[in-house]
Amino acid sequence: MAQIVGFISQKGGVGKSTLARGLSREAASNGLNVKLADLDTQQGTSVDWYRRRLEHGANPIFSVESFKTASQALRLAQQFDLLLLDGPARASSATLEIAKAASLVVQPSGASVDDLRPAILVFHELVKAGIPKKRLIFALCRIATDAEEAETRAYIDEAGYQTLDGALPERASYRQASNAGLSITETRYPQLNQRADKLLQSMVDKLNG
Amino acid sequence: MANFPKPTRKNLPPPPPPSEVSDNLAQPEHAPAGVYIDGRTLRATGRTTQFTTRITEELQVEIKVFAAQHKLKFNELLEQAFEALKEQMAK
Repeated sequence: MAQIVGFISQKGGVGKSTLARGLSREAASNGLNVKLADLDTQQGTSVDWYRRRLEHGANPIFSVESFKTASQALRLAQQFDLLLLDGPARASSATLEIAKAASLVVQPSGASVDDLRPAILVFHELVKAGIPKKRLIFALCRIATDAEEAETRAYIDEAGYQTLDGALPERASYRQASNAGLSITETRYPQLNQRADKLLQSMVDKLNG
Repeated sequence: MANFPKPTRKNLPPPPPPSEVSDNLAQPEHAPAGVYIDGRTLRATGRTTQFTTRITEELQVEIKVFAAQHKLKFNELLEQAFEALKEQMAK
């Protein structure tokens, strides 16, 4: 049975796919049999990204597939070491289904109240539905300064949730890497790769901790 | 000289309490498709099946005159006549 990590958010553009792709890449590099399930059939961004990755000839390659529903993807859990569910930008019954099945539910968020407030409410709702708090974790993305990161961490902590170590800074190089089918640990800049790696390693530690 | 800690400014408001949650998790996985309504939709009667039979010419004339006098379409006449027949037979 695969370990399952869910990437959820009510909002688009916060970093779900970015982190899911990054973790897929790192897991595949470590020899794990990985499936990245793209649950947003309307946009299919991760599937498109993977097509660019294959065209670019990047390594390692793994498996990315589009699914209409979370349950369709979950049925494949037996066949892989790691199943990553890249959810749509919407909170619904599928969010709860993902959270019930996943060992870790990662919710990326930016530093603005516009991002943070709905994100906290989604986790509140999952807790109310019976999901243990320790399975829910925030990942900070598109962070501009250290002060902004500290303030965002304090906000999330005050709300009663955990935040992964490390944060993804707002950089054009991450977007450029994504445009070429590469992950956040495959940019042209070692320092940015290290910052992304710290965030992903923290995710792996939580998953196996 | 005394050392003061650097003052911290709090720019973010307090996070929302759990009591503010809505019912997003009860929503369907895919947003329901919107129903497009136009004039034709509003005028639709549901009468889509053709109903054809043979009758005598005299009966056809009689029905036509009756329908015209009462401002009924043939399908309305048939519906009302059938309802009346069912009521009568039920007695």
